[in-house]
Amino acid sequence: MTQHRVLVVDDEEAARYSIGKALEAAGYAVEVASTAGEALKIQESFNPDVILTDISMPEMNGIQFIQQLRARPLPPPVIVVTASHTYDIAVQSLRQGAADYLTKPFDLEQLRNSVRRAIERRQLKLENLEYQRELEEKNRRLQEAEEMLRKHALELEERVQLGTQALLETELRYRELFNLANDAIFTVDAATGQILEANLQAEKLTGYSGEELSNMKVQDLYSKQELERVAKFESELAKAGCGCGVTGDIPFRTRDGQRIVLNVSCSMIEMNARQVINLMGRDVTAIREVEAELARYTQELEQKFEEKKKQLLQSQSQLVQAEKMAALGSLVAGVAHEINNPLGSINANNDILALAFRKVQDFVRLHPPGDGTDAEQELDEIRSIGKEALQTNRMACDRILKIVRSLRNFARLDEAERKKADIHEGIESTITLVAHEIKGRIRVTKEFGNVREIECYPNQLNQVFMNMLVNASQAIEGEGEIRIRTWEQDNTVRVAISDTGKGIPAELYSKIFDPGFTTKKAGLGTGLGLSICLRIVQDHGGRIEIESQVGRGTTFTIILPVEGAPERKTND
Amino acid sequence: MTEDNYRPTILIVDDEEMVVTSLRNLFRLQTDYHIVTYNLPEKALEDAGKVMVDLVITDYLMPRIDGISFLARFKEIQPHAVRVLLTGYADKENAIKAINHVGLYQYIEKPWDNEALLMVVKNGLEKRGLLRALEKKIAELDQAHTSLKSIQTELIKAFM
Repeated sequence: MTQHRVLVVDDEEAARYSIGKALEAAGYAVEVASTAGEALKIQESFNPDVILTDISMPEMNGIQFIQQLRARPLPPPVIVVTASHTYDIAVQSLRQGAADYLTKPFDLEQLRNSVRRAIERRQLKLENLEYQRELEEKNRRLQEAEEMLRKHALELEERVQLGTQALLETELRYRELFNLANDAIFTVDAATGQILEANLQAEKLTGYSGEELSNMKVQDLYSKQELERVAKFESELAKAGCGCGVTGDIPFRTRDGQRIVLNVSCSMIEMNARQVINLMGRDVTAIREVEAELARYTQELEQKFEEKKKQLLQSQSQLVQAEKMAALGSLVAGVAHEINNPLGSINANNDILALAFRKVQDFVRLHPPGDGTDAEQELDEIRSIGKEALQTNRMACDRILKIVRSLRNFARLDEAERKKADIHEGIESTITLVAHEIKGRIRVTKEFGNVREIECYPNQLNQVFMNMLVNASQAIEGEGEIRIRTWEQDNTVRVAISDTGKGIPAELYSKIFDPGFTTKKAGLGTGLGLSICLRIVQDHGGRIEIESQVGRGTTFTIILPVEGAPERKTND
Repeated sequence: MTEDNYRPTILIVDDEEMVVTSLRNLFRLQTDYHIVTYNLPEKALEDAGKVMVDLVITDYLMPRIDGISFLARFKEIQPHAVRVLLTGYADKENAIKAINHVGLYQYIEKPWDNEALLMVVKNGLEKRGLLRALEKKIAELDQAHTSLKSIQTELIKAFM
């Protein structure tokens, strides 16, 4: 239990002492002051719960003291103790706020009661003050909370207002878009097809007014002649289900009966427990027509292209044929020339032998055996002429045989099929046949290696050899040399044909195999020779390499795989 | 033949031995011409100054020197020789182009017909013979003229 504090103020020491003692005995903590001034000082530090003060004191009396004290915060209750029995002083002191009034002499019981009551009152007052403060605090908090609530409400209200505004704006915007859209937009009841809403473009495209449309079903707008297309589209839409878009072309019929095609994007959504189809259609009538036209045009072009290609291939094969004929022509001329000499000789020798025979007969008739004439010399001459004629004829026949054999070997008319062949045979035959180009002017050196037979079309390869040899001989102005080497390397057979001709500038390497490219004088070449050679060699799975030095000569190397090209159909 | 006992000389040039042999034998059996043959045209030109030739038959297509060039050069050496070209099929065009160039008497295609060849040669030689006779007559006339002149001179001298 807390010890209450009492301050006793009296200018009389005896009084201070007795009162102090009595209160200490009653369990209070007591301080004393002899003057009011001192008491005011002690009050600050001691903070008494109750003050007992005399009234009549020097310097400052009790009334003044009470006044001074009351100016301080939470002044303790003051009990006035006085000897004077004046009613005035009592009233005055009470008026000034004294808690009680004790008149000397008083008994201790009175004193203690008075002090106890004063303390109790002060306690109550303090408690009351505390309550009041608490109450005030609570009140303040309540006010704060109210303020917050009010603010919150205000904010909410503001937000709602804003939201409403936004919603309105959105609605407005979508409405605007809905009507501005270049596409026709319909909202349709999925169950009935009833048009719920249609935008301006929908009215424009269909030719119906908004009011008319609102009384129509979307199926009324479809082109009646092409309902299966519509049905197909609808089944697709149904299959896709809610929330999935489906796109397709649907033919519509306008108010004045015109057919238009709309590219329609559709989706089904659930709105207020019913299924609604949003349908957006773009007029693609013109586009589709253009597309169809384009497709037709493309097809036409393709057809024309095919025709042209066919024509081109045809003229190409004609050109190839022409080159073949030209080659054949030059071959025939060469062969004819080569055969003319032996043929002329045989022809002459026939007459010579016939004559010789007749002369011998005449001789025998004129000079029967044993007539002794010395005509032996004449007979010897005839005999030697006959012998020479026979020898010459044999040579001539051999020559013709060789040429004919080469010709047959070259053409290989009986061997147009793919087979294993010795390229040396083909090369030898070809050399014989181009003899008139080479004869005397050009020395032909052969360096044939040990090569295997290769899978090939021999007559085609011979055409290549002939072309190469003729080219080589034509590249040589005046005298020169053609060297033909063969060898096997990396499973290929290689034929290198070198000439000592004028050579080919490097910048022409890529061109010389182009069809139609020629450096020969008009009439000397079709310009197809090398391109055909290349094709033949490529058909055999091979390639042609070229090495040339202007002024020194050229080497063409034909590289052919031993196994030949993979089996194929024969060209031409 | 305008002259008795004259044996005309014929030069045959062809790089083909069998052609040369055949032609030589043909002429040996059928005629009494003097036959000279060569396989190499350059050799024939080398020897061109040695023998007087009345008629020359040459092949066209020969190594190094073709028949036309050969005849052109031979003409420079023996302008009076009658020139005959023996051509193969393949070079006919080139040969014909050059005929005027060398003053060709005739061209014969290979393979040749023996009778035709002999006839061409005979006619050529006749032409050559006539020319020779003409030359001879002119020479004789010149001779007569010269001797007449000298006789005249003698006479004038005698009378003076």
